[in-house]
Amino acid sequence: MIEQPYRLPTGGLIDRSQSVDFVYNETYYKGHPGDTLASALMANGEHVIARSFKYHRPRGVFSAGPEEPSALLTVGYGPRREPNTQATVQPLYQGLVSSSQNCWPSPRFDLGAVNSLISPFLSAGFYYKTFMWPGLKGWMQYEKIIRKAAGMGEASRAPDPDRYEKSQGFCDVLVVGAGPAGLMAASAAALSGARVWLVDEQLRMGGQLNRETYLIDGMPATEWVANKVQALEQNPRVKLLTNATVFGAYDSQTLGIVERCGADAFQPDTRQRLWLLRTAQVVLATGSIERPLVFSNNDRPGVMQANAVRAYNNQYGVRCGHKTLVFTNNNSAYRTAIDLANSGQTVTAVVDSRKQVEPTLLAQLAELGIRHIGGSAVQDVRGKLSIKEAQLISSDGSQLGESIECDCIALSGGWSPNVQLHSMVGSKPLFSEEHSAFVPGEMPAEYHSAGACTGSFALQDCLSQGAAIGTEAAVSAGFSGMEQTVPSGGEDTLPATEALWQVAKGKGKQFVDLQHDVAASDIELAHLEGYQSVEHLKRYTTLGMAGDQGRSSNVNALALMAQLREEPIAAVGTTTFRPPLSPVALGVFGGLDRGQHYRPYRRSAMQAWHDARGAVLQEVGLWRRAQYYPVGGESIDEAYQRETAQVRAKVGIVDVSSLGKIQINGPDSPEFLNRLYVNNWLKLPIGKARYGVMLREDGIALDDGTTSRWGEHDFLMTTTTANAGPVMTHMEHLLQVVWPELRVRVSSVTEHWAGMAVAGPLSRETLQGCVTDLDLSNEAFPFMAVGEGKIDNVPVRVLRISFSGEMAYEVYAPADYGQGVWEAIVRAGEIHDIVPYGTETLGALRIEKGHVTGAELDGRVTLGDVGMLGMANPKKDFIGRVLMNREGILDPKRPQLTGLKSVNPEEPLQAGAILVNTPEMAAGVDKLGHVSSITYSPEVGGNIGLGFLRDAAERRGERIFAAYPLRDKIVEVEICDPCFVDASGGRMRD
Amino acid sequence: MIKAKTALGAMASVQTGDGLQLREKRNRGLWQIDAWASSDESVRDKLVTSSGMRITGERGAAVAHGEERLLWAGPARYWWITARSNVTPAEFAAGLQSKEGCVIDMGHSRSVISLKGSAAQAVLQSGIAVDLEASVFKPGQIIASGLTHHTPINLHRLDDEHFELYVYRSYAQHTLEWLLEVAKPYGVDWDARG
Repeated sequence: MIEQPYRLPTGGLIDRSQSVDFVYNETYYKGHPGDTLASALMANGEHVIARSFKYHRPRGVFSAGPEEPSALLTVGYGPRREPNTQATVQPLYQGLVSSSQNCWPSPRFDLGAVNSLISPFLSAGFYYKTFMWPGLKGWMQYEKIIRKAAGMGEASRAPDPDRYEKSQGFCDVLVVGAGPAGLMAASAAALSGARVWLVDEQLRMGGQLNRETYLIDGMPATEWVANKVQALEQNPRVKLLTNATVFGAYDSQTLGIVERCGADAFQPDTRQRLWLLRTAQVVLATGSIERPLVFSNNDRPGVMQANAVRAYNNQYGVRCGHKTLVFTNNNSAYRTAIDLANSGQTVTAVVDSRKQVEPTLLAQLAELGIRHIGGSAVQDVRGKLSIKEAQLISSDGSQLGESIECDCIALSGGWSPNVQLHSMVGSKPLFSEEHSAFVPGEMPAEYHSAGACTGSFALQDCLSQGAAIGTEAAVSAGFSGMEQTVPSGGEDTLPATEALWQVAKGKGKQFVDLQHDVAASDIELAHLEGYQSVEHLKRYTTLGMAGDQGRSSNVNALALMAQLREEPIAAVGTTTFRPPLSPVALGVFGGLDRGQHYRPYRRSAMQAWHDARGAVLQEVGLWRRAQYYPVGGESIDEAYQRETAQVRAKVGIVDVSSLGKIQINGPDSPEFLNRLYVNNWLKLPIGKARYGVMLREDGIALDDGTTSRWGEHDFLMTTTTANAGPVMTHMEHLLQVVWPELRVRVSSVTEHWAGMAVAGPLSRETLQGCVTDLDLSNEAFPFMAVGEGKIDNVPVRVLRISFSGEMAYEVYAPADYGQGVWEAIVRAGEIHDIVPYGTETLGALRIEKGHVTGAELDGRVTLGDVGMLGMANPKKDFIGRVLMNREGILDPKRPQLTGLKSVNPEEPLQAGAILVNTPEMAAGVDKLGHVSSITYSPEVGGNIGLGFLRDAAERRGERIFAAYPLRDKIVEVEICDPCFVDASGGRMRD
Repeated sequence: MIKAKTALGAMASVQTGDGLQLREKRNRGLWQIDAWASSDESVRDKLVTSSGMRITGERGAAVAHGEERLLWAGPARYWWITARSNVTPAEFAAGLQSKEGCVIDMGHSRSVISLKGSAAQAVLQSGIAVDLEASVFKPGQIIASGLTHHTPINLHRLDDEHFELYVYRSYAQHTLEWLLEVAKPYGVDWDARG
């Protein structure tokens, strides 16, 4: 077998000194570094490599870039299998494994092609009109079959094993596209002193220059590109990114870039990197795309963009056929004929729909012996897996012409500027009759355009415009512009496109969107059925969707719709372009933020101790707190009930480091607290703590906790774990915006102090066994006292406060000593059978005591609802005072905090259950309130809960029902006081 | 006396290269000095005298002297980083009247991770949405930002390839794990001994 039979003996920018082995459909092939998968397959004579989306028609390579609609392959295998990869942009690498998709058994013989036989029934929107019986359930089954028959490749279902990164980029000028205009723009901006990023989606910078045989300043364009790139690389203020796509443009000049870090998808390091780039100015030099022409069977393998045929010849050294016919409506395709002839290939004819062509072009063809047929068009193509001949017709469709033998048709329907990024920043594309294409409209001041994307197709214009725009962008970014010398690009022939939107129909379908098998007839149908708006057309026919985002199809489709509507194309307009411009792997959006790095995990200073004791952890915001400490295979219920009982009977210790701790300092601190809390704070003595509740401005309870006074102007506030951040923000807002005159500073010291609560009737004895320099007797250190002592010579703060209802102390130690202090307390408590307890027991204890927390203070609750209206000092002002007196908030019919007890003690309650009078869960039943917290109470000997109930105080002792329709569960409960243990508070105080 | 355990002391050492050297700065005290708007200048003057480090009140100002640091931490707010055993900050606090400002010991609130090496900036830039280019974020400056949008941090640049990252203690282990992961391609040297 001849190796690479379609590889030209010389030429191209590939490295012929090295071979690259790759696999396609389980067969080994060879290519060269510098090849794409498409060029390597074509070099090896593989011209039928795909099947189409809907009709399973054979497809080959159509383009040489990201506009490719047909050559979609699955690359990689196993968990790295990535479907729908455009072979035209996939760099070839050693060991690449690829396969065809959407066909069986092979792309050359595909049983799915039976779809072509019933294609008249598969017109646009056919699935909207059929498969309606027997209703939605039927459709759910049909959909699976349709998706299996159509569609593209299948992604791996295994987790993506590759590494993706994200990073932030910053510059003064971003240049998108490294063709002639982009290279000049980057050079000019850099010359002016700007920090420049130049980003190009190809592996090799140069854009169209790599595909052409231009001379710049008398040297081959590729050599000029190499020199330019080298100069930019040596500038430390310039960053060059190749193989990277700017896929989205967002507000404030923030752009999303995906960088494919290596050609090899199996690199051990990073596969792709997401850049979020923030820049002052943007130069879009995004080039243009050659449009196809619409004629019958224009999707056959061998029908290609003229520009792509030129690229494979000039850049990759690959012939696309043995007899090429060029079909065009403009001048640019003549370069294809000339370049092919110059490399020794046969060009059977240049068929031009225009009647008038520049004499110099005709002379060049004549010199090369290439036949020219003017005023004609290709009407139809014969051949299925490869082209046999082209049937011509006069371009006005009036007269059938000859048939010409060929195996490749290089076509050019004109050039469409790439305006997608322009559109994303609000520039509405304008239709240019001159170019028969959309060009960028007015853009934000920070955005500039240069080169072919503006409709400037001549090389010299691109070079000049790039230099000028690069300087302009640098000046706009605040730099003094330095004039960049513009090289000579020589004379260039402008395209001079004469629109030809559709050739007279032949025998086969005239495809407009090759990727989604949308034909001209589908557009006619959409028009006939009233889908005449471009947005409706897109959604009805799926035109312009999928991986190529309609790059090659949009303008032709809009022109056809305009003809049908008998309106100018400008009146039809375009659809809206949105990110991503090209397919982006989801993995790159996640980057390293997956698994253990998905979000931070906050650890207390005692975390290692909890882990060593086998604590089961519970997520509480970003913290993971010990939920319970199972002993000997205990269940969660067994564990927390044991811990709860032990705390009530003896003593327990719990890690409360996650509680918010806010230091408040300054001479106006008492006044600040007095305005913040509903109760009075002006006379709190030093060495004392006080419970307080603060409201939001709208009178709803924000948070509760204790604040202790450690000095004249020195307070320490504790908040709930959940509200640590919001309360701190609230206080900062008040001090910075509302009362800037107060000399008060607040600082989060949550992290400075490791916190632990020691609770139970033997808590005092336990602490007395380890705390020095502080008298903990009831007389010297009564309930709500605070003071400083030492544990094993470590200074600690001790607060005699209780969340459990038992005698209890909170001990705060500098965090690096947290675990040591904890261990010292545990050692001291061993003789009292101290138990560590977790959040589950913490919750059980506070529910038994009737203490509220986030479950109750849920942003809808007032002071009156939780029975604390009496705390509010009516003689002073405080945040929320005015609005807490609104009629609705003072409504006596508002549900109030209540205790609830299962009538059957063994029957658990459900948080969120609705309280109702009757055991029926019928719709429209009168809702009296809800259950907010539940637990099993060893103290009560049954299941209890807290909740909110209308007329709760008046109904104590009555029985109602807690209904939980989601689980079809209803529990009879007794209404009781929310405090289930030690209502007098004696245990805490004595 | 109980032995201090830092947040990162138990993290296993890693040695895969020298692109990024990571160390935990231990036994550092952090004293937060707050002035009132009217007393900022006078408090700063006293602070400069007491610490021996000359800092301006400009946003992002940072001074390093040996292992001591004086850092701008917000309007009329400074951090004095010094050895925990140094009694000077406590003396300074005792001498400051409440009408001038206040001093808080926050020495255990932050873990400080030193990042040195050619990859330091690139690794940090992966998670911080602030321009870390040395001509923009210069040696001798400090910023407050977020790491991966989740973790509040302060970042002090000492020279082109040397940073100190101040992170809340509870986030420290996660942050170090993240840094080790991001730095993998560059080669990393983390010595748990400090």
